[in-house]
Formats: sequence, structure tokens, C-alpha cells
Amino acid sequence: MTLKKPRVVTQKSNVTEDQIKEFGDLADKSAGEAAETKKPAKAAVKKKEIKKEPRRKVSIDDKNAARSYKAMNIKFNKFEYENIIKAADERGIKVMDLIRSSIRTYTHNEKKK
Amino acid sequence: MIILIGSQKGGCGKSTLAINIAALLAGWGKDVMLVDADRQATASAWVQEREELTDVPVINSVQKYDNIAKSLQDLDKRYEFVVVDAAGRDSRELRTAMLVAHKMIVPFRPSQADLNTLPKMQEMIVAAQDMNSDLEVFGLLTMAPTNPIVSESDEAEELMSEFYTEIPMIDVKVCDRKVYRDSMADGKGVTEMSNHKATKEIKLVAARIGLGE
Repeated sequence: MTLKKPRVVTQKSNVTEDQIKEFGDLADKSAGEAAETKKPAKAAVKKKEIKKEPRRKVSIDDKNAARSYKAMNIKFNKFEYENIIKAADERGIKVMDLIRSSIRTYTHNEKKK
Repeated sequence: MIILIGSQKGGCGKSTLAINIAALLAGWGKDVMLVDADRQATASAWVQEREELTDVPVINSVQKYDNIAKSLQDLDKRYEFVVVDAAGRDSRELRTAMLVAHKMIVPFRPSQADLNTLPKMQEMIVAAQDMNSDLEVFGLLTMAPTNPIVSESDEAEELMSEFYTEIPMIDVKVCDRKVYRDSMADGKGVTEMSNHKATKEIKLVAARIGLGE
């Protein structure tokens, strides 16, 4: 049997159990001992509230209104729409391209006035 | 011998230091028990990672919370070295461990936030030493910038020696090196990797607190 190096037993201070308990009780409980044992409730993720400004209705006849092709919502009746389709077919372009170019021309001319 | 790594500040490298000291001692053939008293369980995760390795000495680990004094005293009888990693706050684990530990390392970064926690830490140390006169305390600067132009570490050392006399500083700095993070992920200590500077740092820390082969 190989002999092991003797273990040095260090002299302990005579700390009593009461002292340990008392000193331990001084721990900052607010730092989260209780919080750690209980899993914190999942914080409800609040959806970021984005306040949307009500979209301003822009009349196509309003010359001074700010124009944005992306935001503009134009409604055509069936007759107008059929005419637009016909015109687009005649020119060999897409309906949307025709509408875009028409609006562009219209606003350009309006500005000139 | 019970070696406690404790501080009231989180993120100052307590777990890193605890595992590296444990790895160094295990490398020297010592009988080491790593006590993880931090509910974040960083040290335990490291031990789990280490268990998969075959080329490094085994380190046993146990997670202990609340009043850990009795457990530490019991483990001290069974192991040559008990390294305790306490949570980074004024916890019952930290306080009860302070009353039975032989050596305590207080790591802190050279930052104002870390320095601000030291007055309360010093008060706690004085109170603990009143009851546990065996407790030897060492202050250790961790995560120090490697850039010699940055003088934060020197400033922190100066402040320590001036105001916190109950936490005598070790004349070694543990620098902020990538190898410490890498070794954590690999389940190794820096002394088991091939970074001479980090190895030297840990060996010097051990030497300064009176640990030797």
C-alpha cells in the first residue's frame, strides 16, 4: 500500500452555528434569493404601440394636395376601368404603368398651370 | 483548505477564477472539490463540459445554496482543496462561506462600478474576520486591459491601497484575454491550454495566496 502525504488539518476558528446563521441572515434578500428560487414570471412583451396618423383622403381634383403615388388610392368605375384596359392594350403596356404615367403627366401639367 | 472566490459585483470573473484555480490544483495532483454556490451555475456547466474530456484530471463539483457553511466544513475534511464560487451579490452563500473559509479572493475589474461595491464588501469582510480569524482576504484585479497605455488598472490599484486596507491586493493582474473565455467553453483551465501569459497569471495568483505544488 502506498502511503499518502498526510493531510494538514487546519485549525478552525470557533464559529458557532448561531453566528453563521445570524451572519447569513444579514444577506441582502432584496438582491434576489427569493427571486431566484421562484422563477420570475415572464414579463409580458408589450407590443410597441405605433400611433398611426389617419390617412388623409386626397381628392384627385385637389391641385394643392401633396401627391404620393404609393399612397394614392384611386377608384375607377367599371366604364373607366374598361377604357383604361383598352388604352393599355393599344399601347402595349401594363395597366398599372399606364395609370402611373397618366398621373405623372397629369400632376406635371397641373404644376405648370 | 477552503478557498472562496467572492464579491458583491457580478461579471468580475469569479467563476473564471474559481475554475482556473481548481484546474491548476487538479493539475498539480491535488484533491479538489469545486462548490458552485452561484445559481447561474457557470462552474457546474464548466465541470459538465470537462466530464467529456479524457486528457484532463477530474474535478468534482457540487451545487450548494443557502447556508453552505456546514457542507463546506464537511467537504474540507474529505478534500485537500475546496474551491467555492459564490454569486456576485451579498448572498447568504457568500456570507456563510466567509465564516468557514481559509482564503478568500475578491476579484474586481478596474471599473468604477466594481470599485463602488468594495466599501460594503470591506465591511462584510471585517465582520466575518471578527468571527473567523483564519480568513485571509486577497484583492485581485481581473479583466485588466492588456493595453499598457490604459492606466485604469494602476488607478484602481492605487485606490485600493489607499482606501481598502482590509482587502490587500495581490501584485498580479489577471488580464482580459480571449483564452479565458475559450477555456470556459472547452471545459479546461487556461493552465491546460497553450497560453503562457494566462497560465503565468493563474500560477502567480495561486503562489501569492500561498498555494504551491
